[in-house]
Amino acid sequence: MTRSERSRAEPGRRWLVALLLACSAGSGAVAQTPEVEIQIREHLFYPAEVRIPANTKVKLVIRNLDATPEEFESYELNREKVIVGNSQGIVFIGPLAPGEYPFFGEFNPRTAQGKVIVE
Amino acid sequence: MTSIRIFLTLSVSALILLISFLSAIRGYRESMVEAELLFDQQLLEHAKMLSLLNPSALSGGVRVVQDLVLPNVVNPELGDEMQIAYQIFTEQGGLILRSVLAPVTPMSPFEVGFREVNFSGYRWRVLAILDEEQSHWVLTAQRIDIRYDLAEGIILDAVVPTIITVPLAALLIWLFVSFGLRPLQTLARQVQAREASDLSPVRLDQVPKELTQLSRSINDLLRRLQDSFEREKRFAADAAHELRTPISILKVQVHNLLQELQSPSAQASARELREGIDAMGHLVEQILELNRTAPDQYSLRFQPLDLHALAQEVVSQDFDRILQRAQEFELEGESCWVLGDATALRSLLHNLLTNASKYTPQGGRLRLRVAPDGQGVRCSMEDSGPGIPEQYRERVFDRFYRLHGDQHDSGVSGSGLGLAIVKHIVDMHHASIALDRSALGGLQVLVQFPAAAGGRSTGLPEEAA
Amino acid sequence: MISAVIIVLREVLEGVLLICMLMASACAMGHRLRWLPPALIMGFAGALAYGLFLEPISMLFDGLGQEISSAVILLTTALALVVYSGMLAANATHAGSSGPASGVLLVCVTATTLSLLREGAEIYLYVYGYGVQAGQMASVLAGGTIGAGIGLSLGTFLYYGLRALSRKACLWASAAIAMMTGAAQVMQSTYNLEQADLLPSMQALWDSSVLVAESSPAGEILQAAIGYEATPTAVQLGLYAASLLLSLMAMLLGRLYAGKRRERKA
Repeated sequence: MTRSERSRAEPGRRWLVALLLACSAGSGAVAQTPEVEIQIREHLFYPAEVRIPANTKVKLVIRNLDATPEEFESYELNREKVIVGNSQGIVFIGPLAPGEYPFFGEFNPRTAQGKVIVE
Repeated sequence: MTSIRIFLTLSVSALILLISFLSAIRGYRESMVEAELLFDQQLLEHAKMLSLLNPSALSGGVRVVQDLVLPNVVNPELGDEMQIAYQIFTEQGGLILRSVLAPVTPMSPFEVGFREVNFSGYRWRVLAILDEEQSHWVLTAQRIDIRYDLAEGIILDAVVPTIITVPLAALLIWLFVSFGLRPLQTLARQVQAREASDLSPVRLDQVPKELTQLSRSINDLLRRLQDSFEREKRFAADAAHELRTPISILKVQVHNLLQELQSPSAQASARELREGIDAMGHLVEQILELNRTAPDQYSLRFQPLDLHALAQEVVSQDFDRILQRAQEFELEGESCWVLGDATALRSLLHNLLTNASKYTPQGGRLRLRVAPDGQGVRCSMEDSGPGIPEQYRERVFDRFYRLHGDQHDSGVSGSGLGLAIVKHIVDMHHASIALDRSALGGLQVLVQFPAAAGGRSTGLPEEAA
Repeated sequence: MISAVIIVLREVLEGVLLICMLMASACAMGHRLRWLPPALIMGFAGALAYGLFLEPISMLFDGLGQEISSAVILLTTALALVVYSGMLAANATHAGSSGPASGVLLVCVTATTLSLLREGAEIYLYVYGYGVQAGQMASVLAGGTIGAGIGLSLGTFLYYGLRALSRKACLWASAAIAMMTGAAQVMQSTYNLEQADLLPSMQALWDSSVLVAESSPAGEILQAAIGYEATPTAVQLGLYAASLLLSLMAMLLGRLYAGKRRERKA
């Protein structure tokens, strides 16, 4: 996302945050949130195993390098996001207890498999 | 439930669809599991075969050999792609031999069993086994997407017909349900299409069990209805007819009595008696007229008629009565043609005129206007009498209904049948009637005739010319 | 094929449950189904537009546009359903007291259009991406037909089931469905808000996935019908309960209002 797009989107975001009473303590602390990038290529996740620390909020940036759309989905993480071909999406996860949280691409569940390992 | 046919078609189709689709899914799943097992079996067989190669003989450097290609008899198009990649490692993890597609690193951890892992840009199903001497690891792998495509290609061919049959089944269900409901439609059509006077029994060729009771009930109802209609009709007609003779005799006798009586007071009461008898005679005539003009009784002799000319004729006949009451009368309008029955229309105009005259006080005003109006003809009878309050306007068309009971402001007694006869005649001519307040202060009766068929109502109809 | 079945069925089921309930209850309130065709057309057109412009939409709000638009759609639908449950309760208490007909129709059109828009967009993306772009038309079409067919069949049974009830029972049952599906929409919106980091993500209060896993067929149906969540957090549970409470209040208000009207008439 370019700088100009970001600044254009900003007021809208602030308005929404205000609307939701800023009930998320995290929205102010986006800067400190660790970022993990996951790529989708040929309906596979790279890396297929994501390791993140326990009890920490993590920002997953999912880049879909395929031409086809993919839906990042996890029952365990309660996350679901459609990522159009050749674009990216952001999904916040955590803070989570230690353990394994599988995720998959709903449009290609046979190959697009992965898991978040919380340590 | 608005339509039985739609309900039956939809619910039965939905049920069939649900059962067949669920069983298709079940079949698909089972076949897929079966196919997976077969592919796993292949991996195992090849791993075992490779372990028989005596890997210890293959010392000195890493050899790279061709992948195993499984000939695919079922689906030759995919056959060449169904390759098995493999690796052989020493117990210590040194790579001895690998196929072209297999990476340099172990495809899976050295643990016996099946595993799914990603490498070389694909997701693979990897089997790891130890050879019989427990000295070498043999790893074989197949691409999951190809395994899947292969299996699905075959299974889909079995599923697709199920999907196609469902809409066909739905279509057939629709036809069957329509066929099954046909007797009901026939019955409905027969009941609907009949004339008001036709009370003959409904006939169905083959009455289905479910409709036997209904058609029997309908026919029973029709029969009873017919009986009571006949009875009513006969009674009114017979009674009126039977009353005619005694009334005529009474009239003659009163006439004679009047001649013979000398005392003025006796003459007065005899005169009242005569008036009573006249009224009764009028009533009887009206009843007969009503029966004659009932829509299902009247044999129509329609012809083009000049309604204005007809009005002039009726007025000249009834003019004495108007003169008697010292009423001011005007006939307006112009010649205009309607298709109708002369006797009935004469009776209509007569009734309108006498009604208006009767209920308008001495010296009041009457106005009859017959003129073309748009496509049709408009006939309006106005008076300066008391009029009819809005809430009673519907009821005055009922037989024997009279405003304020018998006592009218003008003190006149009527039969209460005049407007009922008018209504009959109006219906017979497919005209419409409306009551309104007149500009003269009293009632305005508006009769609107439709355009005479075959020509403009104002001029001579073509067939008459 | 099976993933096509699951994707299409899951989306269709949610929409069909809602629309069939609206159809049956609107009929029971004496409205004709004239609102349905325009709502369907708007819903499908909206789904197409949402699917086509999903990428720019996703990029809004720092890349959280998808979550925020989903949450707004879900919460609007939930609000419409809360209002609708009140109308149903009023009408069940005293016929004809569900307010002006245009209000009922507006709610029906809003809920139908928004629900179709969200569900349809995902189906469109999947079918276009895999059926057309990736050339797996046979498998996507077969799976999609099976999924849609099962969803529509269940909807047919729900519709005729509700219509078979007496007017009153149909309206109360519909009010209950409106309340539960509304709560399900609220539950789904919490995932979106958490995912966008606009609601705090917290430890789950319990894990009932041993009893009913969310990925199982029963779990999917429960999720569509009542917003089942195996591992709810306190915030999710609170919002879910608030939504139920709001519907109950709307129903109570509807009942009181209708009761007053009936007395005035009597």
